[in-house]
Amino acid sequence: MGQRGSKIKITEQDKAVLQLKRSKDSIHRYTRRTNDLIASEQQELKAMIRANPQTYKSNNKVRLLLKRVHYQERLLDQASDQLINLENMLANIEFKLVEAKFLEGIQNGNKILTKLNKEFVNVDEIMEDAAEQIAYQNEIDETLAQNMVGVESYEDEIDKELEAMENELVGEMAPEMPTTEGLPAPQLPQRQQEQVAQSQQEEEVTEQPRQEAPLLA
Amino acid sequence: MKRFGVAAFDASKGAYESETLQRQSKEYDEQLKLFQDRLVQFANAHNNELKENPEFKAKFMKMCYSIGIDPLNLFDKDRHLFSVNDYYYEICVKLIQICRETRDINGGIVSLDELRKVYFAGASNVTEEDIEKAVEMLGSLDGGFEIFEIRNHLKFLRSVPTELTSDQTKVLEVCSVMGYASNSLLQANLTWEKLRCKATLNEMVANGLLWIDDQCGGREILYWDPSWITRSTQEHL
Amino acid sequence: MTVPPIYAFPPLYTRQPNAIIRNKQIDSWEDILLTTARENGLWEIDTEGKFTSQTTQELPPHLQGSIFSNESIGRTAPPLFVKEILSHMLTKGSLVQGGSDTTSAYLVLWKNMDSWASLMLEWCETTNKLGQVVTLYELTNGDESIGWDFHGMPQGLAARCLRLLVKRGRATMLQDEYDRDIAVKVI
Repeated sequence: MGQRGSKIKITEQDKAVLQLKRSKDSIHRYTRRTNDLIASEQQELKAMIRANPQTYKSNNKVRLLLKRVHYQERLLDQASDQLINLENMLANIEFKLVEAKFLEGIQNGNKILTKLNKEFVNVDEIMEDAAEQIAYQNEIDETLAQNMVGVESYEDEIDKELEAMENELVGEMAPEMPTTEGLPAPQLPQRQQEQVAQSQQEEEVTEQPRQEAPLLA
Repeated sequence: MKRFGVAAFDASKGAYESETLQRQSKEYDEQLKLFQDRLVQFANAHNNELKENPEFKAKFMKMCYSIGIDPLNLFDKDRHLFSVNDYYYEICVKLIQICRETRDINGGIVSLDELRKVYFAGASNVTEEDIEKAVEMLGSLDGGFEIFEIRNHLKFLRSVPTELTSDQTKVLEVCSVMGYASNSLLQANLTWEKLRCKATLNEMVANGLLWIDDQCGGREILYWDPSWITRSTQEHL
Repeated sequence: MTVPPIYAFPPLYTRQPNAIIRNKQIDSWEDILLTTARENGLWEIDTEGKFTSQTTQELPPHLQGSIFSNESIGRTAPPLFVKEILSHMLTKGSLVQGGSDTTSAYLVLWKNMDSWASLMLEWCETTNKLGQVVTLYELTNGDESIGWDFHGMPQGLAARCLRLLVKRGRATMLQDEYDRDIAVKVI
């Protein structure tokens, strides 16, 4: 018994089932044969009765044949019972095999679970480690956030510088303004001059808003 | 077959199932029959549209084929269903098919009687005249289809280009009585010389027109006409 | 029995000299053989064309002699011609060598081995036999295969078909103490 160049395994259970099935087959074969025999004997019986309608009851041969048929039928019944027993047993085995598979599955699951649990032994260390890492990460985040604050003030500075530049530009534009053209510039200290220019520009804005656009652009 | 053991319980179930199945299949048959009848009615009612619209016609025919109606049953010569020519075209197609399929067995000669009773058994409205008319139409194809007559009433269709000689036709005439011919039969009936009988018979065997049979009491070889193969089927009709 | 009408045509029993006709003739014989085997549940034929039954049931009267002999018309195909027909079927694969004993030399395959193997696989699938040990007797004679075309098939032939499944990697055979194939496990 064995497997010929095949990967499919034949287990001990398979062999046991095979033995059972072989017995079942032989009983099956027997019942079929007996059934055929009974059928043919009944045919024979009928033929004898038909041939001798008056005297068949006293015919020994007929009586014997009928007894034989009864005997065979009893045997057939027994065989059928045995067949059912074997079939039940096979069904039980099949179910037990399923149960065994179930158990095996549970055991395997359990094994994996314990193995996995074992890996949780140094969980504290890992957690500590993780906390440290998180703290460090927070630190980095903070630092980065501070830098971000710096960037904000830098933006403010940029704004201020831009404003100053704007003022400068306005100053340069002042002599071209139409309101001051041809007039002698009043002798004022530099600061005052700037103020004047500023106020002049404000007037301009209200009077000629179109000129503002190129200035700011 | 008797079942034993647990399987015996299935036996009664099987009987019940087969009964149900039978009833169902009978119902399906009835429905199919009804549907087929309706289709034929439909074809009658919409004859003109079918005639005028080739696409519609083609689709209709396809449907008929798929549910098992031989289109030949749809045609009605008197009422000119579709157009009358279509009916004959269908017969032509069928004739060519039959001749091709049976050529190896009968050497390309088939009697009109056999054609109608055996091969057109599914289309009961086809008559020998229809077949003859279809063969006439096939004539324009120059495919060598021709009808010839022996003993003034038995008609045969020849689907091979080589024409039968008058001697060969005579042999077929003899065959049409008993199914076979032989040297002595020919000599007695046609008063041919021995050599002529032999030559004609041998040539017909070589052309596949006759099958030999050397088991008639061992005295003489019989030469059988293959159209007798279906004779037993024809007798049932 | 539904044999084709050509079975009653006397020249069928004489080897035809015309080669085209003879091919048709041999095809007709093959058809007759396979149809008869299929319809009567027969599997083995001897070199003379006589079917052998595996069951206790007797063969119907017209099959007790050689299939190549038709009493109703008094014709019998000569042995040489029978040999030619059978060897044609052997080359085509509708017959294979190896009956159960020496007198019945051929197994009649009205389906090819591959189809049988696939059908058996289908049976295992539909009756939930996958992964189980199934005896050849159970497969070919058991109650669960009644109505399947391979019911009644000789176990030797069944084993040969199943070996194709082994080759496909779907099955393995189990042997008894005399190393004969008696069961199969299909997965």
